[in-house]
Amino acid sequence: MAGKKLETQEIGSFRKPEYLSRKFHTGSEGEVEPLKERATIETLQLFNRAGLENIGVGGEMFRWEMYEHFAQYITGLKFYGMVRSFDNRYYKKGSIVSELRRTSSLHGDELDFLLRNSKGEIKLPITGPYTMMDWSFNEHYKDRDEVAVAFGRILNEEIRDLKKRWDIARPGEKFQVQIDEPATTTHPAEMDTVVESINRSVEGIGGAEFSLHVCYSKDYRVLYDRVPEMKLQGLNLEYANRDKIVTGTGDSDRPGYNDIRYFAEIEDRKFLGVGVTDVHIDEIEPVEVIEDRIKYVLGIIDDPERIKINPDCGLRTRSREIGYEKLRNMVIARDRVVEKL
Amino acid sequence: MKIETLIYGIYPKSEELRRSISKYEREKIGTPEIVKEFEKEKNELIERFSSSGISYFSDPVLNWYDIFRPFSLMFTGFELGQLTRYKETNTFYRLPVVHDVGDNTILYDRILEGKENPPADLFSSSTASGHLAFFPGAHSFYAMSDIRRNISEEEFSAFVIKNYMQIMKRYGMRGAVIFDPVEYGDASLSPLNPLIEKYPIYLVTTGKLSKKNFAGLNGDLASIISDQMPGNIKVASENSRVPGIKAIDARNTLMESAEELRHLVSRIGEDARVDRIIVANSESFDFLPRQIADRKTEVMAELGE
Repeated sequence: MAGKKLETQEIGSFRKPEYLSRKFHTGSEGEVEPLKERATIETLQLFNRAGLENIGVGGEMFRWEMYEHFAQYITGLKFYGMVRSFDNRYYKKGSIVSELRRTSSLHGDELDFLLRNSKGEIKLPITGPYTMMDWSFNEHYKDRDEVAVAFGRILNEEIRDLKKRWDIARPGEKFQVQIDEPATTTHPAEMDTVVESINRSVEGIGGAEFSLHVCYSKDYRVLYDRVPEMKLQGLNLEYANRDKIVTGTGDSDRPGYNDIRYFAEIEDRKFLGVGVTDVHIDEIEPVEVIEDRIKYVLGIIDDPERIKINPDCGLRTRSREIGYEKLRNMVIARDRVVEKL
Repeated sequence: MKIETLIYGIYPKSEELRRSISKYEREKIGTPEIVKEFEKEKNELIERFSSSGISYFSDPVLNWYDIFRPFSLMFTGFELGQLTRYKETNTFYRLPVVHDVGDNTILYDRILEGKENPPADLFSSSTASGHLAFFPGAHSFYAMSDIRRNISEEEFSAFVIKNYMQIMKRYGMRGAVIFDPVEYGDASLSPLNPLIEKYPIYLVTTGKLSKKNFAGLNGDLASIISDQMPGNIKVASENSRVPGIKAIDARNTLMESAEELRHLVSRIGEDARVDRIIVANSESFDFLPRQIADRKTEVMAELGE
């Protein structure tokens, strides 16, 4: 349970300042590390100005991309070259050629820096095991299930490692991890693998709040059906992208959020982080529209402590100025709703 | 057992070409320069396929951003829709939005405009033996489009095939690969008749085949290439001159061995009592890094020796 009413939170990435993105791959370690730290501080300040309660990890300034970052810290993956995603856009897709093993912590440096430089709530996004499997070629393991579980084992080691650091710096405080799984529902027949690998990732780790972030799914019901089996406390999902930018709290005004009724029928304990601003468009949704989106969701799940308010996904594709405006309107809308509760 | 080979679909671009496209997008180089680079790389690939002994190969269509894109741009009544996930992959295509199928005027210049797709001609003018046109199957085109008006699959297919006939003639193509990434179910392939009657057609299918898919055909296809599923090779051999199998995995970097493939193909051929089989890739090689695609085509060349 969230504990706060309509807590606002970041989902993950935020646009990197140019001084960092320009040097990220070309600069030496001694040159780039201070830039990552500077960018994190500036982004934390921006989030604080916007009024966000949970600042995530300050926009993921320590990471370039969710797959590539994970892959840097494990052995068993080999890169033969880039693979096209669409048009002239490419991504690095590794081939698993031997047993997957973690070589060092994926996010330890980032967490240590945040623990030294912020006091607010932190939520660590980590790329999930199913997505790592789905975005890799497999030359080594028997099948996709075995690959996903192998990534789940690595994630489990990583989370244990991070939790130790957390417990030393913030004893007794809630440790929050968001497992990012954009690939979750792309193969509906593999939902058993999704559930198994996620549960393997969090197995045996107590005193933590685990959430799952999924976005741009064709059909969330595939996911909702299996949520009760997942050892998680909540979901953070994208909805605004599929909604209309109009005011109103009727079903026809809020098509993007209709399927939350289905979620509410299946799950009555886990929290739901609701995407209320679209990260793929520059248009800043008016406060009134966001307010109505929140009210509509509260009409279905009448428990503001089970609802969190967030952007659909990381805001890395928008400019920092637009990202700020979107977050700011999100916080104003949330405050207005809370006032009237 | 004679083993023949077929490579089809979008081939991955070289690192140099990728960089040139980026330069073109940033207007650092112009249309003539990028067209020249596409032609150069296409011709190199065609020459390589041809000289290495690949029996048949579609144009490498390096300049197509997805298998529907040129047609959404060139066909009257079609337009480009949103980016859409291609099946269960992490690759995306622009959804064809179909408003009308009444006008068979093809707007060829639109593929040379450089908007929404790099500017280069649809197919190379190569006269190399084995060089074929490449088209998405009408069945899949229909299934993977946003059809805005009440247009039946039959009506849509007839329109698309009529346009393909025009394209074949314009580019002087002597045969074509038609690739259907969507299973046929109960669909009939009879709209293909005008093409089959005039050209050798290599039909690459997906999933389970049924006799009724081919019931209305007025002749044999040059080949039906199918997934390795029970019964497919029998249907393929009954309805085409040479059956084929998709045996080179274009979705994984794991390398096939020519020797193991020979065993597999011989066994399939003996079971189906055929003396010729075509071995093809399972999908466009564009799902793989270029280096791996090149190595897989070398294995195919070795297999056909």
